[in-house]
Amino acid sequence: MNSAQLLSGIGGGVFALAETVVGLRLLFLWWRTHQLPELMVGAGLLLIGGIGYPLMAVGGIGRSSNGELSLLALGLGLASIGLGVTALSVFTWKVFRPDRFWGAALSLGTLLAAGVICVGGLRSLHLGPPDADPVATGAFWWVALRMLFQVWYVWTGIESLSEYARARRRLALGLSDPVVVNRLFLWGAMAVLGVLNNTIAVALEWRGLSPMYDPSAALTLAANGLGMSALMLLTFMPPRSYVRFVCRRAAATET
Amino acid sequence: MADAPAFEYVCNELESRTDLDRLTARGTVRLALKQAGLDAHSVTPGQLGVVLDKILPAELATRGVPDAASLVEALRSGLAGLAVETPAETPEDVFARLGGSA
Repeated sequence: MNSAQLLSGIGGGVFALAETVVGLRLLFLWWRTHQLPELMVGAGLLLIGGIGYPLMAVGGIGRSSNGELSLLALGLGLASIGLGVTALSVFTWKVFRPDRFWGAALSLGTLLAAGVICVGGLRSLHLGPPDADPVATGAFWWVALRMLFQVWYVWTGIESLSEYARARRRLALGLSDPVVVNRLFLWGAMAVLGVLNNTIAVALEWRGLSPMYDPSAALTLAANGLGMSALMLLTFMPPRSYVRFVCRRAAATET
Repeated sequence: MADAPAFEYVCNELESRTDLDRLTARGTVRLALKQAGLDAHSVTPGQLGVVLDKILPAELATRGVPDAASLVEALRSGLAGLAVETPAETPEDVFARLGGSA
């Protein structure tokens, strides 16, 4: 394992761990409430971070040749990630645009695109030369997968930050809870960082600097991954000290 | 999506108690709601009451409505008598629950 792969592993590993922990917590919440939003976001995060990424690693996506890959594990991993992004899209639709047909269409489109990416990616690895690099062999499909995430990040970022702007106006009239208003900002900021992360990753890969092989690319993406992990944890599992900080700051703004 | 009963009530009352036409009355209340970060289709009587207190008087004054204060008071009394429907869950409600404060 080279230094770039180590950095990628740390950044990706921390993010996957954060997704797993938050996903499990939200699924436990769903067990009590039986509400769709917690099921969708909890299952989405767990499918991506807790199941999809580990299966991709087990399948050998970081290894040096197609011949070393386990296509079964990779296929299951890709399918899990695809279902996860779809669940997150349903979350954004049902929470922010429940009455809009286009929200449902976007979620369905995400599911269909995820299926195409899963089949296309596996097919390219299966048909590729056994001694070729898997990252290069499936480059088109890995970028397509990033774009699938990108659509969700952009959509979620716009919705969350727009709602945050409205919630701040409600807060000024005493109609909102400062902690929840802050939570909308954190979730939106996480999505913005995701957009930035994907944009950087695609730009670097376009220039032939894969985060799997280039330390500077890996460091940038690892830092973003850590930032996204922190924002996700503060959104759904905020420590009491952070909640107190937000309340104190809101009270100081009022006076 | 239909507008909330509280919104409809205030708009209808404004139209009947002032010289504002239907379009202006509804536009005035929509503008006030927008300033408050609220929507016409999901606003509750309680939220609209706050808007009546804090935003609507100035909006009515700029449109030349006389005695805005007593008009707002009358609208508030009427709002209090409206049946409270269970409002649809808002993004804020969901994030309150998901983060553990609901």
